[in-house]
Amino acid sequence: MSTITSSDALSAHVRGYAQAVRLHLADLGQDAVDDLTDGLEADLTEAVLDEAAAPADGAGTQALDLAVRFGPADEYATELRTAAGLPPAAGARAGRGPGHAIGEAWTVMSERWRSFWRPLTSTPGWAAFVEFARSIAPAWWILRGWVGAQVVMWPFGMADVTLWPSSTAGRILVIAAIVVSVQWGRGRWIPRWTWFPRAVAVASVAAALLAIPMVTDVEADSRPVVADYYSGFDSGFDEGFNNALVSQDGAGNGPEVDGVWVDGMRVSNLFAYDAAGDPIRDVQLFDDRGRPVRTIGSDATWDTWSVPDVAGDWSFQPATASDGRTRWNVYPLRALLAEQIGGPDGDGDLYDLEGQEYPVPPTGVQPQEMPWPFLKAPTAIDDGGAAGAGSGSGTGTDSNSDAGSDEPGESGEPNQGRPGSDHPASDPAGEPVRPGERPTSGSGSREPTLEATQAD
Amino acid sequence: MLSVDTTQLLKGVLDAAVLAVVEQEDGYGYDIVRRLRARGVESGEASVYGTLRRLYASGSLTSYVVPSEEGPHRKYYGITPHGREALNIQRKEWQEFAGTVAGLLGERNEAAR
Repeated sequence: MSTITSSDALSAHVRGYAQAVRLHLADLGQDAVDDLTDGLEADLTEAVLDEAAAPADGAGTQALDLAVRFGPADEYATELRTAAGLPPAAGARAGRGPGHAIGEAWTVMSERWRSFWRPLTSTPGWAAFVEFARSIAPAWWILRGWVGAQVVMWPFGMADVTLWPSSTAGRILVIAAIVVSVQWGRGRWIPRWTWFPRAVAVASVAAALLAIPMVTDVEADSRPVVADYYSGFDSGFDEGFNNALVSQDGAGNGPEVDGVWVDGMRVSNLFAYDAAGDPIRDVQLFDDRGRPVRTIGSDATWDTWSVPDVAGDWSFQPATASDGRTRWNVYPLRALLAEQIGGPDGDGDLYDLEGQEYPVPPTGVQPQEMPWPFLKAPTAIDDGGAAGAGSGSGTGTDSNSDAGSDEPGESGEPNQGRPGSDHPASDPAGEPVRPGERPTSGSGSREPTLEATQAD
Repeated sequence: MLSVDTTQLLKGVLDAAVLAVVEQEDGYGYDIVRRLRARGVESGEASVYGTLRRLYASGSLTSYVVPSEEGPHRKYYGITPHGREALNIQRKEWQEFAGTVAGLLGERNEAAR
């Protein structure tokens, strides 16, 4: 008879075969499977050993291929289920192989799905709904084609979802996809592959799911176009993105949102240079109606921004006017590292900050200046030759701009415009700064209306 | 040994054959297959097992588990009064049927002579 090893191998084979049979019966439910195959291993083992004992020698190993002895597991399962008077397996037994298995699984799954919804789908209301849905099906076919075209365009860099692509190829693709989708909807142009209707069904569900974000995206496309989506101002950008939507859609009626946009990107800070190209600090900016220009809207004062050439997340700080009120339209804005944010006691506990308008620096921490994009503006304005008498022609050069894009650090920090130095660039007395004109400190003839004091 | 065609014939009477075997003596799945084979009735094992489950479910058979010293426990089947009744009916039906068919086939055989 068999040695220990071969009997171990036999029991492993028997278990595997029995398991395969159970899998083919799985649609009957666990109880029925257990009932049908209870003791199956023992019966199989005995049958194999019976046979192995009868012929003289070597038959034991031969019989180990149980599919040869008992037939394929699915046929065995079918015989078992038929003899037991149970319904045949769901799904046509058209063929075997992975495709067949997938088809079977699909049928079982869809039947379960249908029976799950049957209480709902058997109502007259549902029938009316289906009839209605049928009548608007063509609209769905068009949408499906459009979604399909967007998906096809995705890997080709045409990822910006638009209702009507700008490229000719994209337009042709959209039209072709819609035509194909409508034809499929009408039951035309459908290849004869048996798996094809199922594939279309799956793809349609996927298209329906994809359509939601795509349509939302297209809806959002009525705002300034996004050019440099992911460079830097992540959180602030997304915030601004949404704010822009609100302000656009609201058309003045929505919540008031401030912000400055350049090239489709939200601006966090502004840097002013005078006509000679020299940096000016603490410039107060107003629009043509006298409203303060804010890059950081009142709803965005807690946002953190990343800043080119400087690591970390930064929270911008307003200037303080002489009357003690904060002014957000004084540029460049100073900033605090996000880690430095804390309550007045400096323990970094954000709860201390509840109710604050913006992240207040802890005691002893001063907001920092942000690096200037240029030490000197690359261009000087030739305003009748009056520009920058002290600094010569002041024509910007490439070397200047290169130096400026590097980290200015402390030595490179422009201090020409430092308040209190020789050339304060903004007039703390509220004197407008005009190109070519460099107001000097304290020279303002008017009554000071607003004084931007610096934490510097 | 029965050919494929007679296997088809057997399908109609497998219930009766299984009941008859179990009526003689209780047995477990493969044991019943073996006893059927010993009597010249070659049926697919799965068919026999499925038939046993169905007869049990319809109340013609009863079942009980017998612990085994070596190997797994065995599920034995025994016939119930209801099963005995069903078997008697099927016996009668079969004999009538077999007689009719035998008469028919015999006539033709004689006619062919």
